[in-house]
Amino acid sequence: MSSVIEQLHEELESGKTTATALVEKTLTHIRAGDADVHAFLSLTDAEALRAAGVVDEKLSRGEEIGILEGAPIAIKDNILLAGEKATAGSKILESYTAAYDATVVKKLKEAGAIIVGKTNLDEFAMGSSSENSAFGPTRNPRNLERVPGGSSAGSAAAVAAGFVPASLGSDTGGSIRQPASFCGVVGFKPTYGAVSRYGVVAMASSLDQIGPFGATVRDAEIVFDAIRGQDDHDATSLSEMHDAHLEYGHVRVGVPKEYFSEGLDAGVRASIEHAIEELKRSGMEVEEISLPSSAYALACYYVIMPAEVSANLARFDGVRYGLHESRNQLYEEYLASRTNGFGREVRRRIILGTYVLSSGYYDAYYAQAQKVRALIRREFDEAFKKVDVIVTPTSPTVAFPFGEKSEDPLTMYLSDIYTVPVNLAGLPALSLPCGHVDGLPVGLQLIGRPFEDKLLLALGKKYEELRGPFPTV
Amino acid sequence: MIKKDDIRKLAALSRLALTPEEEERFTHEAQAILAYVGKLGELDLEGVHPRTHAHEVANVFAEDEIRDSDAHEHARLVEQFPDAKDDYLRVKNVFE
Repeated sequence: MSSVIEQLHEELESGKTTATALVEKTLTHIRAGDADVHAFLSLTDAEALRAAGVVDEKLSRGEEIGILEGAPIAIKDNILLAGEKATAGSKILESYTAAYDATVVKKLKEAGAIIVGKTNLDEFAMGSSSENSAFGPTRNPRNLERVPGGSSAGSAAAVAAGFVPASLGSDTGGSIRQPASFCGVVGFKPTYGAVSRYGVVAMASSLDQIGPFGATVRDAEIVFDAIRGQDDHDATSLSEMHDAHLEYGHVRVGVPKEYFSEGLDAGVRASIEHAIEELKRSGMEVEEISLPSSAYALACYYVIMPAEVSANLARFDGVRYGLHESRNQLYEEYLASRTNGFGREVRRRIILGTYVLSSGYYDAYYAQAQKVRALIRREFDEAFKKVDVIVTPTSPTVAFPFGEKSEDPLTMYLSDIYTVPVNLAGLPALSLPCGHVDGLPVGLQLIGRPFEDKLLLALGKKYEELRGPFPTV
Repeated sequence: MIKKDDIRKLAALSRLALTPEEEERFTHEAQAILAYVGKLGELDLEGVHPRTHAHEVANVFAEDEIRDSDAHEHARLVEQFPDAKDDYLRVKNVFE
């Protein structure tokens, strides 16, 4: 499968184009096309053109350039880019300017990538449709009447619309993979700890992970290789990473029966089953497996995540940065700043998190959920003794119409039912397009063992070959 | 079952104000969500050790050394203060 970043790299090296021309073309394309899509919250023209100039100087001196040098990349707006706005999709950070670069941004800049803008998201990465963004929703480039998924809506849409070959998102319960599935692009959530979170606005710290979107698996992999690794600024980051060294013919694929039960759209099921057939025909061994506790994963997630959200979002008090509502009393300032700054879903999760952590309910909810989390991980560990990769749908449906689920939180939460177990267990997972239902893309999820991210990406590339091209809009 | 009074109390603890309409709405929504997560109680978890983190982790210590902060970063942080005096954040009195 031909990678867009690799094509651009060849064009730059052969002198067919320049980095400056590429950035100008990208910004013009976004300005013309994004009025309909609303993938971007801000564009970073000045810094992008400056960085492109640096690449062009190297090229004019005849120096070799790295694979990412000159490649336009978009960044989710909950990731800090020094000197630029970082709203996290929230009114409380509407006028907040980042003081420093997130580690992932620093690494992308060092690799020569050109950051062209910041993308829209559900407020504080809480949502599955972009309808929770304080700055209006993003539309799905495949069908503007449908949601793009969430929370990394703009990053998925920016790749699907063909604005950029790759982008960064964050994934706490499916926020990279579900929008990748809805928009028909590749989305990769690395193993927990594989990528530093320094400089990402924290949501639920035991689950959050930054990862790439790409037009192809190779595009996502190029970005992943640039951003991964241990970082002194994030104590949970790890350098451990296993190489991909399996023979494809010997790959054992597990299909968990619990992910094909009630609630799965018939068309999505058919599309996933077809993809599994293709894997089987290519010589991989496919067997049914069981992950019974997965049925409890979403319930477990909706205890642990709000608990961590309520603690993480306590820092937004209107005192040091962000929206500040001036009042006579300090308590009144807290109340007014937070109430006017946070949207409904954010407030709902803070209240829920405060409840499950409160004395008297802690054991029934939080402690119980931590035990279920242990069970979920244990079942994955057992399964991975028998199989090398687990294949499931990414989401039970294709992209749904705006407004369909926004009035009922529980229904909205169900669109992450196949992605949350992966975050609870800290595993790597890849979503890649495998077909269409009613003209809308279906996402296939591949789940791997911890730190076997590279194997997962290699299998993703293998699947792309079997499937054939899946062009962006 | 969680009641409107509980929601009101939790909102105050979370430093959030709710309108009467929101109190009503959040109560119903919290009831539905808690009924759903209540299914965790069905599982027999006798002897299961709770898991707080994806991997086994060890504490990470940093050397206790003084490092200069970046001047740009410092200036940008100060710019974000809602109220400042010189380079210092000005806050309301905590004690009257």
